[in-house]
Amino acid sequence: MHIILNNSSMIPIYEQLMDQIKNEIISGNLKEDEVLPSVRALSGKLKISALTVKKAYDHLEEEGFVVTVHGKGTFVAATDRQLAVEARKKAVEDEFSRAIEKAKALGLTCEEIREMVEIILEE
Amino acid sequence: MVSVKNLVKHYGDFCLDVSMEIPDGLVTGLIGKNGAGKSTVIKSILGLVKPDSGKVMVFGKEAGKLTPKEKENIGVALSDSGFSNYLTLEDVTKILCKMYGDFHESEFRALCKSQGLPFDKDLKNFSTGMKAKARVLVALSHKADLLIMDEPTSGLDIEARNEILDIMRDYLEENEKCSILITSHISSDLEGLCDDIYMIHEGKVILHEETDKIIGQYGLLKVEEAMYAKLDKSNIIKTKKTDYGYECFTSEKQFYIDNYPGLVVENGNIDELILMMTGGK
Amino acid sequence: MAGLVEKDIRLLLKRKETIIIFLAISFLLGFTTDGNFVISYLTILCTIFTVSTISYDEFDNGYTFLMTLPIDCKTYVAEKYAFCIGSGFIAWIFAVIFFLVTGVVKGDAINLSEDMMMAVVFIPVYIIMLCVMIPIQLKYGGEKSRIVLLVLWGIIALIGFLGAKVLAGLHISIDGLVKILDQIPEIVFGILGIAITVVIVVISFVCSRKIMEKKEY
Repeated sequence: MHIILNNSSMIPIYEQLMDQIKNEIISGNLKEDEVLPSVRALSGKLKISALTVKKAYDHLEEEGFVVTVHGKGTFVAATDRQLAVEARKKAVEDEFSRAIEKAKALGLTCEEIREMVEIILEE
Repeated sequence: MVSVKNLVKHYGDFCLDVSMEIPDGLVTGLIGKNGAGKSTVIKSILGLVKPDSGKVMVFGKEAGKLTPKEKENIGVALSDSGFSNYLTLEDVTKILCKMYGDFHESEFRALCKSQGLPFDKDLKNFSTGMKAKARVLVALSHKADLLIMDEPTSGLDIEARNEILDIMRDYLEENEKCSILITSHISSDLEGLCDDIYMIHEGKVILHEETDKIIGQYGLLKVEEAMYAKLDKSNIIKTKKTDYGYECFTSEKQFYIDNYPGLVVENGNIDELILMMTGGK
Repeated sequence: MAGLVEKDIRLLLKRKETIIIFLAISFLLGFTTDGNFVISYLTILCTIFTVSTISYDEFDNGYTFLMTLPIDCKTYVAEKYAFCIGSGFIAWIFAVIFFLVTGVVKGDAINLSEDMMMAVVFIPVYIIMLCVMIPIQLKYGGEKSRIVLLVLWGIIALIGFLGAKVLAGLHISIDGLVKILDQIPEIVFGILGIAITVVIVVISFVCSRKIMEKKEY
């Protein structure tokens, strides 16, 4: 499992961790029923707090990506990969909705919003 | 594993009054200036000094009343006290064999060797870095469930500090239910190891927060004069006046990122936290 | 306790030169003087030597770390007494053997029972010395205890001196006392001696323990 964390990013570490683990699962690098490193092992390797790793694992379990068996460890859930991709697409959709709402609240027109998106995509 | 409730201790003018906990399986950091009371807290937990009032419980028993067998489960590394400097590491190994039932001799020897610690030199001829490593390795050598490390990386260069922190991380991986209390001045060491942080200042705990939150939720806002007036200050912990305006420390940086696009927000870290909490307004 | 003994032995063995000098001097004394002196010399030297382990423990804030090891005050104090009394006894045995051997070599007339009697008397002597030195060292630390001990011996000497004066004043002669004491069978002396020594050891041990328990590190 290759995890690279960006300490300067505004995205909380546990979220970065979650995203990267999800990618590994979706891409197939982490297979069904494969065991993830223990909280302590991963936190030691990444040099972060064990509570951060635990938070990431807990949220991943809530979203159905992993399953924690008490005393045994955390395993990749037997999840339909297609469903996982769908779920993440939905998450991105929600973020778009929020951004568009804010833009509208600021008084931007639909045209101005589209322009903004074009510019960002070109970057 | 350790619970400190309303520990009060007077030393002349100085008064310590703290409550804190070291939960099972977590690494707790204790930071504070020299003289803030860190050593007194540690000594109370180790039963070396008696509280004037309050209770310090270790493994469910009062700290001063642990039996020698129970004390075998505690590993200690102090910054200003250790085995006699006239002994060699070989002497220390043999003494540890007889002191601790669970002393892992071959592992200890192997670790010392891999860190370049000689067995036939008097401890007084060890360099500062070697002494620090020896202290930590001794504390870890008997698979204790509770480790108390007082400034284990003090006075060391960055390489040696990282080596010692890695030694501790390896230990944590192999001994999942162990708890560590570590004091330090070096924030970056604590950020990479601790799960929660207590900040102690003039004998009182002025902050207790999870490292994850300090790094993830706390932030530093750099605001100019005009902006400051319009700023929602409900989530600001402390403010400091600067040349360009104000520096505000917040525990909810996401709130400011969301509502004030364009505002300069820096990630929180322990150093900033210390400067803010012990100075500023 | 085994760990503490290991520590004390290793610390003392670092002073090999000191030990060799002691032995060399005793060797000399054994052949040049009334051999009996060797016994008291070696035994008392060993006593002072072993009690110095307390100074090692105390040096450089050593006690702070020592007390976090799996021992408690009682064990620490017990080890000191056991170690010092035990080593003193070994020194005594060695000294007695040495005395007998040098006696034979020199061709001295050896009155076994009388000499043994004198030798055995030293055992309570060094034990009582320990019972005084250990609590004082524990309470006052290496530096101050030297002064305290000097003052103590001074006071004892003064009491002895004044006591003799008082007895003389009361027209009781020392010789008279000795004659009376001589009449008491030796076995009574023996038992009395052992009893008094044991009581002194117990009192000293309890005091030392209290001193250590009260200390903060």
